[in-house]
Amino acid sequence: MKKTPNLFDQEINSFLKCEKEIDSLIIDDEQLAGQIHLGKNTAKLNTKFLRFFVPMAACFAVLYFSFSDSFERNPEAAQILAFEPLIQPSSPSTQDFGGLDVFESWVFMSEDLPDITAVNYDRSYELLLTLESLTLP
Amino acid sequence: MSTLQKSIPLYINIEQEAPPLDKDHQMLIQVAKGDEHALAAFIGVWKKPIFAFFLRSIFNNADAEDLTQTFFYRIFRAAGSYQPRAKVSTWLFTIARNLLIDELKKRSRKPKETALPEWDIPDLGNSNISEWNEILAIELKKLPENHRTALLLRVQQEWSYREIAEMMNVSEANVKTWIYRARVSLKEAMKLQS
Repeated sequence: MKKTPNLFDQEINSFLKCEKEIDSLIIDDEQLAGQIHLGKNTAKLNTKFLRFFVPMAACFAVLYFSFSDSFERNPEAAQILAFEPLIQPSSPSTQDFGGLDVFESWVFMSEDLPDITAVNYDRSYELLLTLESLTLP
Repeated sequence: MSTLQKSIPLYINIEQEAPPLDKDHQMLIQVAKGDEHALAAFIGVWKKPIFAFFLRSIFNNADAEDLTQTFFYRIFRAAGSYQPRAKVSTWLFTIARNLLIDELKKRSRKPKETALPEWDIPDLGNSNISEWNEILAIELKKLPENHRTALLLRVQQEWSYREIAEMMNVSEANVKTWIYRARVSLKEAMKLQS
């Protein structure tokens, strides 16, 4: 059967009204209302929490930074800070010595040091042996 | 009699005629106060029209249900700000439309995951949809949002052209044109199929 425009309109209207699908809607009114209410209360609590703790945290931060700032500017505090480098670790650091100092101290401490000037420097093998024969402290 | 003298009694008359609160407005006042039972009653009254509006706008049962729930969340938060300048239904559908437009924008920004075009497979739930319904779903989806919304408000909610125009902030003539065009394109698609 060919559909007339009037029937088309009816078909469109019934499709748009979607009565069958509406009946299948599963939303529990009480449950949704409860969820919304609970959500609102939680949101309220969160807002209160934020309103109280965020400014407090900001105050603490300001206090902390202003205190640390004034500590650094204070001459007594500066003195305390100046003493700090005097406290050294128990083991001496070798970083303070130059490479030449180390070599000199090795040379000084070695007992049977060969006469370096007597060595024929043209022969690099001998030089190597000489260096190898150096006893380390 | 001067113009001022004429205008005074008119002003007094307006003051005296306070419109009585309708049922929806009374419920909204209770909802704004945080009355859970009033909210449940309000949901009971409005869930079907709102769901139908979303369902025929986004064509997916689950999404329409989600939007309906989000809508009532929004209403609960905004209930206190309702001003009885317009009807409650106008206010509600304005919020529903804004929600829908946001959702459509979100969807347009998302990249499509499927290779097939979206309108090829309309998701209309588990019901046995007829061939006509399938065509109508595809065609309705192709319509511009304002044409579709105007048509839905006219057919589903049986609003007057004036009410639709007021809600959509356009002239009545515009609304009539949109609805006419929407109907024509739906009918043409049906004619082609038959």
